[in-house]
Amino acid sequence: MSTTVAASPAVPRTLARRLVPLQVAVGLQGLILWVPVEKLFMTQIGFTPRTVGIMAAAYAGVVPLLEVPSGILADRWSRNQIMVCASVALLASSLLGGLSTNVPTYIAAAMILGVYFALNSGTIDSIVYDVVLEETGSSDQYEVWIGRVRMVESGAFVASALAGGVLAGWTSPRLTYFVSLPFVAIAAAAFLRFDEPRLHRGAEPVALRRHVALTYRTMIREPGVRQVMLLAALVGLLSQAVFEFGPLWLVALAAPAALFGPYWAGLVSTLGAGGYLTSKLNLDRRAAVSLLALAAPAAALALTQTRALAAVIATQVVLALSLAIISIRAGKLLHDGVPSNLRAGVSSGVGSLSWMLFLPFSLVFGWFARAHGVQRAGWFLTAAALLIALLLIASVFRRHPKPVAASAAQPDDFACKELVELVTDYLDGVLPPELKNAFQAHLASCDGCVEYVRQIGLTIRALKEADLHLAPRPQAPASREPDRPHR
Amino acid sequence: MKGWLARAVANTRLRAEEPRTRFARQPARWFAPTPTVPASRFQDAGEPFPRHWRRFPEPWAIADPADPDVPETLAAAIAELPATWREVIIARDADDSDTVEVGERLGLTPRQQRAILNRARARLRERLARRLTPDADR
Repeated sequence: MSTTVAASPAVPRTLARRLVPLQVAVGLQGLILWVPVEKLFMTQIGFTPRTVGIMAAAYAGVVPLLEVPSGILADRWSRNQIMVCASVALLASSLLGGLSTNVPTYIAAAMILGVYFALNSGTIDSIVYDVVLEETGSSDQYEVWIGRVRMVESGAFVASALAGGVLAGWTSPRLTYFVSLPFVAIAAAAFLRFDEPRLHRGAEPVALRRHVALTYRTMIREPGVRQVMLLAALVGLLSQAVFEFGPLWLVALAAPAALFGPYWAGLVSTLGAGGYLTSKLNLDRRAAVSLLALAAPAAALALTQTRALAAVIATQVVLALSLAIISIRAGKLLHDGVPSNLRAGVSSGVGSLSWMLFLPFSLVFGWFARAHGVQRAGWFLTAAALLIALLLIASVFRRHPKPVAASAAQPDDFACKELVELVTDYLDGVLPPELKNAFQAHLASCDGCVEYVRQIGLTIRALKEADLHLAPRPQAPASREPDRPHR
Repeated sequence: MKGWLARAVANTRLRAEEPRTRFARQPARWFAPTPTVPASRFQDAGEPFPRHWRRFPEPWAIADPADPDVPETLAAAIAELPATWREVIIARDADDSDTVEVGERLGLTPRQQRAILNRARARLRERLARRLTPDADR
C-alpha cells in the first residue's frame, strides 16, 4: 500500500485550487511586450552602449539597496500586497519608459523597474513554498509546484517576446510599452484574489550574530566553498551581461525589429531548457563537464569574430544555455558543500558578490563598447567565460567536499533536532525498526526530549478534553462564487 | 525589536539568494526544509552539542486540568493555524476521526496527515508552553 502512495503522491484538494490565481497572475505579469525590443527603443531615443552601461549599473545599484526594506515589508505586512505593489511599480516603469524621449528619463524608468524586481524577487518562491507546506505538511512537493509556476512564467516570457517583436515590427517599439499595461493591471487584481499563506508570521527569529559569523567562516575558510562561490557569482555576472548587452549586437548589425522577438524568445527559453537538459545530462562525468565548460568561452569567442546576424543569435543562445546549465551545477555544488543551515546565507553572499561585480563590469563594458564597438567588447565576455570554464573544470578534478547535511537515517546522527520531526510517526507506530530504536535510545539518554514528548502528549490530551468545533472554512472558493452579487 | 530585525534580515537573505538577470530568473534556487521546531532552539555546528537542545523544554506544572486557561490558549492557537492544519488536527486529535476518513475528505495521504499533525502539534505545544511557563526559554 505504502509503495503506491510513494509512487504517485496525492495532490491535496486545496493545493492545486489555491495556486490557480497565483499562476494566472505570474503569467500575466510575464507578458511584458517591450522587453525584447528595449535596446532598439533605447537606441532610438539616444542611448549609446556607454549610457546603456550606466543604466545597467544604476539598476544594479538600486536592487540590492531595496532588497532589505522589501524583505522587511514582506515579513511584516502581506506578501499579496507586496506583489500588488510590485505590479504597480512595473506599471509605472512601463508607462514612464514608454513616454521617455531622452536618456535620463529612461534611466529613471529602469530604476523604478529595480523596485519591481526587488519586491518581486523571491516573494513568489516563498509564497509557493509556504502554500505547499500548509497543504501537505512538508516541502517535498515544492520543487514540482515551483517548476509549474516557472513554466507558466517562461511560457509568458516566450509568448511576449514573439508578440512584442511582431508588434514593434508592425507599429513602433514605443507602442509595446503601452500595450503591456493592461496585462500588469489584471495581474495585480489576480494577486488580490489569492488566499495567501500565513505560516511565516509565527516563525521565530534566527540567532543572528552567531549565524552570520558561522556563515562568514564557512565562506572564507573553506577553499572549495570559496571557489564554488566565485564560480556561481561569475555565472550570474556573465548571464546578466548576455541578457543586458546581447541585444546591442543586433542593434549594431541593424537587425529589423521583428527579429528581436524570436531572438529574445530563444534567449529566455534557455533558462527552462537548461533545467531540462541538466536533468538529462550526467554532470558527474568529467568529459561532459569539460565539454560544457568549453562551450561558453567558444560561444563568447565566436561573438567577437562573426558579423552574420544568424550566427550572432545562435552563439548568444548557446552561451546563455551553457550558462543556465552551469548555474544549476554551481548551485548543486554549493548545496552539497555547505551545511543546510548555512546554505541560504552562503548563496545570498553569492548574489551580493554577483551584483558587486556586475556594477563595474557594466560601466567598463559600456565605455569600451562605445569606444571600440560592441563586437570587440565581446572579449570581456570571453574573458569571463574562460574564468568560469577554469573554475568549473577545477571543480570536477578537485575531490568533492563531503555533504555535511545531517541525515536522520543514521542512528549516530540522531539528536534532539531529528527527534522532534519524528514524534508523530513514533506515536503512530509507523517508524521503521532502525529509526524506532534510534528514537528510543535517544529518549533514554535525553531529559529534554522526554519532556518534549510528554508535553506533546499533554497537548493531545488537552485537545481531546477541550470542546473544539471546526468552524467552516471562511473562504472556501467553491462556496464563495454563488455569494457574489450579480448585477 | 531585535527579533523583528532578525526575521526581516533572514527574509531578505532568502530574496538575495535567487540568481537572476534584469529580466529573467535562473532556475538554481532551493529552500532548506523548514524545521518543525525553530532551528534557534537547537545548538549550531560550532557549539558543544550540535543539534541538541540549547535549553531543555521547561517542565509544565498543570495542577488543575480544568484550568480554563488551557482550552482558551488552545482555541486561540488553533485559530492561528493554516486552515488545512486546523482541519487535520481537529479531526484527528479532538474528534478522533481516522486516517481514511480525513484522507477522503481532504485528499491527503496518511503520510501528509502525519506531517501536518506533527507540525500543528508542535505549534500548539509551543503556544501552551508560552502560557504555562511564561518566564522560561521555550
